Amino acid sequence: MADLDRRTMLRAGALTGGVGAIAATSATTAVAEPSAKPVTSNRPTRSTVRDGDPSRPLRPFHGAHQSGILGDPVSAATIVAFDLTVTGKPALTRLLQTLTRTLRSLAAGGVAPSPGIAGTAGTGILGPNAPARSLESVVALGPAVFTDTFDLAAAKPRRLRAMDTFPNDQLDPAWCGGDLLITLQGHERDVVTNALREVCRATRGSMQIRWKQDGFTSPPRPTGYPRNLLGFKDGIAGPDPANDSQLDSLVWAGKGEPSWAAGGSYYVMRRIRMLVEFWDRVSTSEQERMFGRRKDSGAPLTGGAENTAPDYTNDPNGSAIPLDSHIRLANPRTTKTASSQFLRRSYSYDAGVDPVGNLDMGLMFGGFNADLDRQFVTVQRRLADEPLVDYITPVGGGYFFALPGVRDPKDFYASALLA
Amino acid sequence: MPLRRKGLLAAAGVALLGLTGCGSGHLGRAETARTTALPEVQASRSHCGSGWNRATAGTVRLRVRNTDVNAEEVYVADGAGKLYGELDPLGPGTTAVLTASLSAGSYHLVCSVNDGDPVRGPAVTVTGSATGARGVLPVTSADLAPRVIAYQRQVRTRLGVLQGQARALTAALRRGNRISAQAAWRTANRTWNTMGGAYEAFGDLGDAIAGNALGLPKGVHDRHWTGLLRIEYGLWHGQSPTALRRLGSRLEKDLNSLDTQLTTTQFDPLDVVNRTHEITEDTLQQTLAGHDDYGAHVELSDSLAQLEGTTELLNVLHPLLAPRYPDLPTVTSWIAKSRSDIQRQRGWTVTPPGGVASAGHRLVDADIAQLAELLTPIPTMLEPRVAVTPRTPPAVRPSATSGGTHHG
Repeated sequence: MADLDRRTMLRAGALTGGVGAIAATSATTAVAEPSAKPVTSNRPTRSTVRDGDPSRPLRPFHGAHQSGILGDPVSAATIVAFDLTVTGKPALTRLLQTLTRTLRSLAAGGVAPSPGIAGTAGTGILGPNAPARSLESVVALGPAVFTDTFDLAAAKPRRLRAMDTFPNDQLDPAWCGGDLLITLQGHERDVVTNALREVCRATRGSMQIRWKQDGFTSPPRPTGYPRNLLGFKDGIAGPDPANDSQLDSLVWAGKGEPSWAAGGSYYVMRRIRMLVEFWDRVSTSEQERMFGRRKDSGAPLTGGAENTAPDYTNDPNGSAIPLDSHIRLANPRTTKTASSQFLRRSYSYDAGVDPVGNLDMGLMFGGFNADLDRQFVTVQRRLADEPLVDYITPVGGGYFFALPGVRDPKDFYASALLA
Repeated sequence: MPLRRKGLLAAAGVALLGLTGCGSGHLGRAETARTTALPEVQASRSHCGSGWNRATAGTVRLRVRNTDVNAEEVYVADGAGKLYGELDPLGPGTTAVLTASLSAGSYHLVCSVNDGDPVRGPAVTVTGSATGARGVLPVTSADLAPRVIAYQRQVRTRLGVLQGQARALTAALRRGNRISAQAAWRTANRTWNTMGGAYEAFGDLGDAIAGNALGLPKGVHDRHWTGLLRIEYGLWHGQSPTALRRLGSRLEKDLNSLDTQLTTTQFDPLDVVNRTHEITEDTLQQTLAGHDDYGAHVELSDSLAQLEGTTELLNVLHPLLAPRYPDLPTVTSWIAKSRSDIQRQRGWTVTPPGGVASAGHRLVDADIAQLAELLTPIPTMLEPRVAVTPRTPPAVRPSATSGGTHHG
């Protein structure tokens, strides 16, 4: 732990003099390393051979699950938490119906119907004929929705609650919580901006933005998974979106949950600031030991390429991949820890400057879980006080429940909940 | 004070879609492909509507060319004279796409060339089952004139009240009693906020009477800052009331000038109809945002006064508005909800930069934002237009439309 102590002191000197114990989160790389089965081989397994390509085709609006969950992060996103200003189940139902209509129509694209002389057809940002299938979305509800205010106390997903404060957090209330979270994502920023404006316009009196963070995914440099703002490839490991049995055990809520929740998922959102100036003053090899991966290739320090599984069986003492490295703590790849993996869907953010002139940038860490406690919270506890915590500071976020998908043109968000 | 953003008016007019849920379906790709090769329709006094022969219900797009030598306004209207789409203006020799959403029925183009009587094009039968947008019967200057005069009379009555309150304020300042001066200020400020002074409605005089310090080179220390907000700043920042007396006298003088102005100049009808939504836009952008708070923290009472101002204006315009705007009852009930939500607030504070708005703040903000959306279509509906078509369609088309022979 000599390293950690040194860094802590460094940081105390370089920054505000506070203790270095910011920290721990599964933030960046982390968490869910590969398949549900522990992988001990060096060979890439089929389930890990994905490239995280942000230019992938977008998913359709209708389906058993929401369009914005399974696919790898795309170029542009906005993540917006709203507080509801309506009360009562009927008003909530109307709001979710309006949201459904709006997002369905945005996903479809095309020519917006003319409202006549007393109005204008949409924002116009996307021109008179908006591109089709250019938007994915996730709509999720926060814990305060499942209360007597909406007559829904009995329908609460059993794990849903206000976000836990973890030992290394420095949470700002202005960046925490919310009754309804919407993630909008697409290949182009204008599509996302247009969608948010239309959503707000359609729901003006029913909810107010509590916090909003635009996010982005960088292009692959040079190939493979995109890099985060610490310069490391991110999102390499995780459940395979094409493997239904993995998804059923790791992503979709089911057993023990209210029946309406089937097809939904616990959606953790954390705003994790990266102290990039500090990070850029640390040597590459020290950075690599903190992550457990090569910075240039993304390969685990036990060798191979970015898709190669780390080999912990031949490295019991952590001489190649340190025992307290991020990927090793997040996913030790044992039978016991396999069920704690979850689906990470995160976006980089870049949001201005702090009071001492350092950049406020980092990661909007998103994670989808079948069971919040068995997965995200468990991984988070394993990561507490990892060396990386001196360079990343969770400052906000919340726990939400991503609703089941809108199945067809007659369905609407949470129809089973509100029936 | 924000300038009137005329160009933004149309852009703000979208709300209705989401609210009424009628904006749900964008057209599919096939539909849009069909509209890419649009026929050209002529729009001139002699050939109004030539080239438009038929249409299918739903979104109708016409590539309209002004073949006249003057600029014009072009409308799609039905037999009753209701308007469904417009190009305003369309310069001579230019082409633009006119978009309308039409149900099945009979429609025609109206070509209102500047300095000429409007001309109707031939009737076009629209078939199909799609439901179009609601048409709006145009309002003329003659329709508006009595309403504008009535509104101006109300504003003058208010102004008379305010002049008395300003005298009381100056008297309290002269006596040097801060508490009673603050009370007199609150009374006068509230009256001013009922008068619809949003968006430079009273021009430079409005700035002199209630301008804020933004935009002045020396800000709150600028010697040219006068009026209610300047007096507020002094009264709530420890300045001597007697030293503020000069500003009270100046306020009285400026109110007298406004009175003279209102006696001699008539409101522009377009400004009056714009004010139906502008007051509320200002409530959100200025008042609730705290930009006009110089110490008295009267955001809520200002907001209530501004709601009152909007209500009075809507009442005056009601005869024109009621037959044109089906959501008018929703506006009325939303104003009532806003008022009630505001009155229930306790311990109100302006949200600090980067801070979290209180639940009460969010509720009031959402109320006023929704009200702004609901009010949005009103100015465009009531905007004075040339009487483009007789209320009862004539049996024959106006003369000089020889182009009609090619089209049925």
